Amino acid sequence: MKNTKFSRRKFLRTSVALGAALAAPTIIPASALGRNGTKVPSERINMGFIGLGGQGSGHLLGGAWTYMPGGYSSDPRVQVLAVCDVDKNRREKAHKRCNESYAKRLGQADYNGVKAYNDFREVLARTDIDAVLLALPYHWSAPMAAMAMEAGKDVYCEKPIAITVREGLNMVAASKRYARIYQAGTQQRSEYDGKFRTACEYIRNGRIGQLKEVYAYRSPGAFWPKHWTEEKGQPVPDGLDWNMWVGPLPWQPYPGRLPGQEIHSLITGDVNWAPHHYDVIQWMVNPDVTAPIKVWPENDAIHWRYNNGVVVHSNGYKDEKVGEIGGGVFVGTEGRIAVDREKLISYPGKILEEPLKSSDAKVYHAESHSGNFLECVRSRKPTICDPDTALYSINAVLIGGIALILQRALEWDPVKAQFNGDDEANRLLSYTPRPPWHL
Amino acid sequence: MKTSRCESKLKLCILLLGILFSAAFVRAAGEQDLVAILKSNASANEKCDACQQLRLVGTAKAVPTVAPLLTDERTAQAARYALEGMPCPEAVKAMRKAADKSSGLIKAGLIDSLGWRRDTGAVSMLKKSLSDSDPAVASAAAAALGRIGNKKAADALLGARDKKEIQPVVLDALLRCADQLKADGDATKAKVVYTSLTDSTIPAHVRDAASRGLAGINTSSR
Repeated sequence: MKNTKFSRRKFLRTSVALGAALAAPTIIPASALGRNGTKVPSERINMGFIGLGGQGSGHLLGGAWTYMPGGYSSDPRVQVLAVCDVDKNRREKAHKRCNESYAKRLGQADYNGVKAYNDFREVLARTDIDAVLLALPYHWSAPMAAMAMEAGKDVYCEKPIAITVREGLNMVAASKRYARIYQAGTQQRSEYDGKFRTACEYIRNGRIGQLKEVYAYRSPGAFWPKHWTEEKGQPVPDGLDWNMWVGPLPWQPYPGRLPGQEIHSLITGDVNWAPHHYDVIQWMVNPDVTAPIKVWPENDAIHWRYNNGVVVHSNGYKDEKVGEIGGGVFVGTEGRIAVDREKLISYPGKILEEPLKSSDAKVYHAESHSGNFLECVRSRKPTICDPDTALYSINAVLIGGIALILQRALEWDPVKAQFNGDDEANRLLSYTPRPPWHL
Repeated sequence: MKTSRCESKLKLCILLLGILFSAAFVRAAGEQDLVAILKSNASANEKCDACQQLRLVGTAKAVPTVAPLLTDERTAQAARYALEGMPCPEAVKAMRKAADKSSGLIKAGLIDSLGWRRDTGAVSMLKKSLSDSDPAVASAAAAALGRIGNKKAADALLGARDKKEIQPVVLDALLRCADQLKADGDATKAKVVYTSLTDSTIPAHVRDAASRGLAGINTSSR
């Protein structure tokens, strides 16, 4: 006889299939969601969204740069409870749109289940929130992710996940201390029709022979200001909490408009797009993550040598455009593969024409980066870009950035998380947060 | 005149450093020139830039000149950046001395740096700071004690466990402390700290973390 036990999760799946996913949000007692015991969240995942610029509001409501139609707020696995931004306009817009969206779908004109906040600490203090999605100015990613996990939340964090090695390590330590689920927003491992995953599997299965070199198309970067602070600024508009935006950074007066994601003068090199490139590159190079990495500047580029002999160059491959958008060119002893968000090609072409075998080694398979995060919140299995993976990738960017700053060769020890015997380089692994903020 | 020649030389130094801002030029400029900027009438912003550069090249020789900047709101963070990065005991002592005589956010920042330097000499001051009327100071003190992670730090934090305003930071710091004690081989004290975090008044996620910590000790002692 079939098991007729009708779990709430099964109800939700069935409801989705019938198009009736939008039953009124049920008040789920904390005890059922693991907060007073050891059960894992098995119903809707209550979420807060912190950072409502283009990326954050895209995740929340759908639109450009998002990979979930209608965003998380339309996903039946999720219940949005909080939106937060230091910009009142962004905050109120998201608040209104979110509540209207739920009101329309639920037929509850006065629906107000989504609350709006300026101060992210109020979101983290809510015991009814299981997870947060952070789409923040770069300097806030690691500190806030750690604080969220210290408050018992699971975290999806947009890249760059850290701007110094120290804050990345602190974030990883918090994830382990509290056994939190964390997904870094380097979504190329999951999205783009599996182009990067396919490239990775071809390379790892020796289809281009032994991998020798990689061309990354993107400079690395690290925290190293052109000037520590500025004198001239503009009046802060009403409704913008500029002090909170600056947070732990050296004080910068308001420049006249929201900087977007970073104050460029505080970063040397690139920590914006570089994480996308260098994350998939680490995936494909597949080095021993405990082995030292040599990194050095030469010919206006930065180069990394891994223990398996692979050399990564920050510049592009001559006359090859594929690789520019988030990818790279991978050169082996028997051919090369070029991959980015738009294309996957091989030289010779027959490399990719021959399909992978079922016996070939496979890598972590996820077809939706956000979907992977939500699944792992429930299953408690590591995400495809879990903290250790994310840290290794961002550290490739940061140590390259430090080599760029110092303009000399360095040797990085990933286990000790420092440069071997190099006091000067090790001085660039952190900065001093502006109080009251601290890691 | 000697004075105007000195001032011109300093201004030229500042200009060159501002225009050609790379580490290579920082090394070339040298610690002495940067210290000279700090001693001069240069603006607060220029002194912050010099402090940033001292992060790379500064030694104990620079500490006496950087130290006074630790308690000036405009230069405190940059001065800390310089000293926190200098691997010499003089830098730690200067920050501890400045923390002892400061208050508010400046004190909170200095305490944070002492925590990262794991300054065991600051534990008594940090213990006192747990009761500071400024929550920023108390919070920084708790976090710093968590990083120092020795027995005295653990005892100080245990005594602050019920301070409501900073309880989340204290509880996290206790976990860090217990983890550090365990890593340093003091399983007995680590057990005491983890156990203190397992009663029902403690938030579930902290209790779970403490239980995992205890399980780790029990497993390794088999």
